[in-house]
Amino acid sequence: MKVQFFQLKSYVLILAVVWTIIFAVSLAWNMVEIEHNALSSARIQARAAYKKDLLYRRWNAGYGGVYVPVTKKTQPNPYLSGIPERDITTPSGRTLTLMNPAYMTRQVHELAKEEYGVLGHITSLNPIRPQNAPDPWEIKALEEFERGRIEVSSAEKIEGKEFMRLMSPLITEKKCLKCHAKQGYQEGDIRGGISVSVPMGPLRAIAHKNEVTLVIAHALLWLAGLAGGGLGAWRLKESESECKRTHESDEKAYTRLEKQSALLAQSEKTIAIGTLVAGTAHELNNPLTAVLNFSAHCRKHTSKDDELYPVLEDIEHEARRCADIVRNLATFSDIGQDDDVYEKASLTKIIGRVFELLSWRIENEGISTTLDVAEDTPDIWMNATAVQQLILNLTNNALDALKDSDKKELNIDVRRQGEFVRMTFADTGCGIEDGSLKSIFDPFFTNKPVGQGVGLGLSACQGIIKAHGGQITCQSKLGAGMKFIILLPIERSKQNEQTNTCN
Amino acid sequence: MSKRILVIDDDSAVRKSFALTLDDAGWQVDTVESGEAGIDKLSNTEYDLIFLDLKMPGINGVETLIRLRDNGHKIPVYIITAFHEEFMDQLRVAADEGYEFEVMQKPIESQDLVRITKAILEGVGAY
Repeated sequence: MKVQFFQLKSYVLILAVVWTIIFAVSLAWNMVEIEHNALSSARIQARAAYKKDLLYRRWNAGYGGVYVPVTKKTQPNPYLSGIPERDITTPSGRTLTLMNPAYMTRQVHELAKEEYGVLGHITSLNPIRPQNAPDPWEIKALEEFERGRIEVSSAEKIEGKEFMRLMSPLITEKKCLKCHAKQGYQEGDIRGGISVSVPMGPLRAIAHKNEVTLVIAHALLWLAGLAGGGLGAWRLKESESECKRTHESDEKAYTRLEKQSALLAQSEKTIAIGTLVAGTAHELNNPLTAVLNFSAHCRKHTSKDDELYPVLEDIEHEARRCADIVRNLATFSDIGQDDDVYEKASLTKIIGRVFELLSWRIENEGISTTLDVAEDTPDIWMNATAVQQLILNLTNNALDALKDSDKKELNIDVRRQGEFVRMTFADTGCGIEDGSLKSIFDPFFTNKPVGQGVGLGLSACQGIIKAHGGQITCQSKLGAGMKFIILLPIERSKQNEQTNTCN
Repeated sequence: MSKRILVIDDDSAVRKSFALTLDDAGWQVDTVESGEAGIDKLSNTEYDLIFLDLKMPGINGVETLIRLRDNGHKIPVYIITAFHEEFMDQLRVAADEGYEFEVMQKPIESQDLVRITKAILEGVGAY
């Protein structure tokens, strides 16, 4: 599971890196596009300006120049001094001067500079007017034209400000020769060029705005992608954990089911054993009766001095043990089934009777017993024979446990607890190890040496308590005694579920 | 004249051991292996006490009891049983219908058998 998580983590990392690269490339490409667009817009503007220059120049040249009034700003063009009728006077006395295309272009350029910041320059490698001499960029462009190029453009700095500079050649037309023939130009010669510089500022502002939008959009999309990927990975991990949890809870349920099945199988087995045992026990009673009677007969007719006499006594003794075992087996399998033997009886009296029955053993083994009965303890609905068997078994068990103990105490406490009477058997005997606690109610479980118990005592007790609708719990630690707590209902309650727990 | 006892039990070991113990105590004992044989025996012999097993092939102990009582025999009957569940209900019904009997649980030791028999036949307090 851990390995898978690391795999997932590295997948997510790779995905994030790839996503980032895609966005970086996209952003860069878009930025280049914006730059390209800005430049190309500037170029279009510049080209339009150039073409307009060309157009009105052609218009002007078409008339061989136009006459304009002489003003302070528009003085007669000294470079046209050789042209006849450069200056004329109207009938009303106004002085007009001839404006050639170059002069007009210069003035329009000045106006464009003022109005739009667009710079225009008409230039030539061989200018008539010295001020029209080209700057270094224009020289390069003009040289390019000589090599056949028809347009040169690039973004350049002019006095610290960025401009799109564009320059196209001026081809000598027939109309141009009026003034330029003296320079030796012929029609079709490249006479010079018009350079237009469009300020990049406003375009840059638009581009910048676009760039900001682009960056923000990219960043948002990139983050959204990362978040989506992260969320996906997280959900994948969650669903994986969920799967794991489901798997675990399935496993738990399965284990529980297995345990329950095992319990069911165990209880079925117990019932089957019970039936078998009961049948066998009953069948054993006949031969036991015979053995007891035969041996008693033989003993009766044998002298006490005969060495066979103690052997016959042993046979009887052992046959009686068999009878005890059989009785326990029978109790284990069917005690308490008979409704008619149920009556209201006193637990205390039964305990007293059992103590009386076992008094010889209790005294002989030096065991101190206490019986503490609360005053208000009521009689309970019971099968007195079965309950006597129960108390006998519990007491016998305690006495067995106390046999080798230093402290030999058996304390019995009886008191009412709600609808039940609670009977506590606590001994100071050897106790039982934790691991064995859960088995003590199983048939044939015994901790006693071989030959001293068949392991049906507590199982029989459980059967009796079960038949009464009661409960038995036990607490013990090896070497620290054993405590049985028995709850028996005061009123008849056969339907009560019996439970046994050990802790 | 000594008292006469009839033991009805399909188990030969039980019959033999009862006969041994009771005979030894000075009573006359007859044993039969089935209910039918017991009823036959009763038709020609007077008995003072019957020990009757419950679980037998043929007619069982409860049916034997009913038949002999129905035949007018008022002899004390001791049912010696290992408490087989299947006969308990029948026995209860018989008791409810007024058929008289006593019940004794197997296994039974010779001293108890003698004590009980003595109590019934000679009226000596056994308990």
